[in-house]
Amino acid sequence: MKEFMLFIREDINRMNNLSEAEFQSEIEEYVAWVDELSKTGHYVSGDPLQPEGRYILKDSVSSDGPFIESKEAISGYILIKAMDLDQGMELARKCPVFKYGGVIELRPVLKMQ
Amino acid sequence: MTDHQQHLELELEKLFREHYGKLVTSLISYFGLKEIATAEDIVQETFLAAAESWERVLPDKPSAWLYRVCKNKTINYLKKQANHHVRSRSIYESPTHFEQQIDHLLLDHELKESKLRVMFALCHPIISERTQVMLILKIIGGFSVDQIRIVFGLEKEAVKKILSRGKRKIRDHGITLHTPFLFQLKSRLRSVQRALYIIFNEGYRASTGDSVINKSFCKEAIFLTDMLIREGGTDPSNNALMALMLFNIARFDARIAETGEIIDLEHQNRQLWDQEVIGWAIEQLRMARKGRVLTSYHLEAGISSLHCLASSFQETQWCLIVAYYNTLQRLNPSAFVQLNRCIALSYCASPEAAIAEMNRLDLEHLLKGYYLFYVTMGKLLIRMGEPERAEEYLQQGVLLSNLEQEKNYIQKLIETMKDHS
Repeated sequence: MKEFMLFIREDINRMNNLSEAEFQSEIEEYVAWVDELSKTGHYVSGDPLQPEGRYILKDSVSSDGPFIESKEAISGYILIKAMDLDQGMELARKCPVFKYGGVIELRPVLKMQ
Repeated sequence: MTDHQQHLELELEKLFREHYGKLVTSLISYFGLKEIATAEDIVQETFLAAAESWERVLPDKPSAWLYRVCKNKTINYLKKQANHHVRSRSIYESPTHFEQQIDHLLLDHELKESKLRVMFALCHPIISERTQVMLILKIIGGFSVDQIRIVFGLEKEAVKKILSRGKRKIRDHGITLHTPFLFQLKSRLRSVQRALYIIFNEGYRASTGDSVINKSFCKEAIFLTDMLIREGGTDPSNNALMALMLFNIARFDARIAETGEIIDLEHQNRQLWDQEVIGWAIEQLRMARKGRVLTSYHLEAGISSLHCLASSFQETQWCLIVAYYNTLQRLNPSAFVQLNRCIALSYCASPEAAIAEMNRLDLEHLLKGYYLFYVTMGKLLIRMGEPERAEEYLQQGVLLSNLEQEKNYIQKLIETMKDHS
């Protein structure tokens, strides 16, 4: 099995404007997805990211970063184990983010032997 | 029993209370939820080993001894596993790495977070709410099967079966401890709160056992509730639960005389109530009011606040307490709530009214054999000037109580009554 990093990208502004009930129902979906991944032994770790952050350039720091305005900012990451890229994609497709207009960037982890 | 044996027994009980949950939690953090039973076994064996090795003399630092032995037992277990599975051979290559990991997991802050994490992970919807609460009590609270049996009114065997079935389900389902958003899951909050509430009450019931041990149950529940407030996102019911605990713990020491006798609310020295803690409780209750959902914790905290803020027993706002109990009864119907409501009613209205209400609700039947029903009846009849009938009930109470301190308390009521008549 190889490791793959899933970067979850979505509209962070939408996330910030959810009602408590909407937020709860979305995180329940995430938890169910992670549950399934861990039941089948594919889950390694993962976390959501806070919306605030810093965007650092060579000579300057922007406090919010352009990711707040971006429709596809990284909102979380999940590390999984899969046989190959195809299986990784198959597992990623079940992520709830697609229901809410987000996307996933799937990247194999490069392990130095 | 020799002095040393007695001392050893008490010391072991204290250490068990304080360290069982910590050790099991840190091992579960290391192994994952699939090996809850292994973690429990290793810690159990550690305490058995302590009981044996300490038969003659206690070590200088008993808790350090426990941690060392527990670590060694874990390493031995991992080595045994490694002989079966090639994959876990690394234990031979780097046992110190394992030790460092465990040491890290035992750091105070890490532990509190691990406990909260294990609690939320255990509250997985594949097991019932009752099982969730029982598992938390067992694993985090260090409750014995017997203590759990009493809380839920079940047979010992039934509790064992429920616990092991729960653990099996969690293992088979491959539930991870590291779910994103875990602490924010409101659907799991109820069981977590309920377990903390039970852990607190287990320590608070004045009468049983050593008061230092009891207080440690209460403190543990308060620390974990504090963690819940800080990590679990905002939910005002957490503040209500905290307020309830603080209002009660503020009165902890005033409830027991130096002689070990129980002092009831009416006769407690209110100067001994911890005003600083009451202040914290009021602050928590203020935050709890921001919630839109009224929970039983809000109501119980409200009732406790009325007791804490009254200048005397007589000047307590009893009718307001009755009103709180009415709402509590609607929200969370129980014969125990009704009994407490009737006690408040006896001061708001009259003892006669309270007895009429107790009869109307048939509390004697509902609370089958609960000693406090008989004590309450006895105390009401004393106030009504009916000592003969009162004594019958109080004697019944003595018979039904299974704790020495409670029996003494009731005996003293009977004697005082006779002195006055």
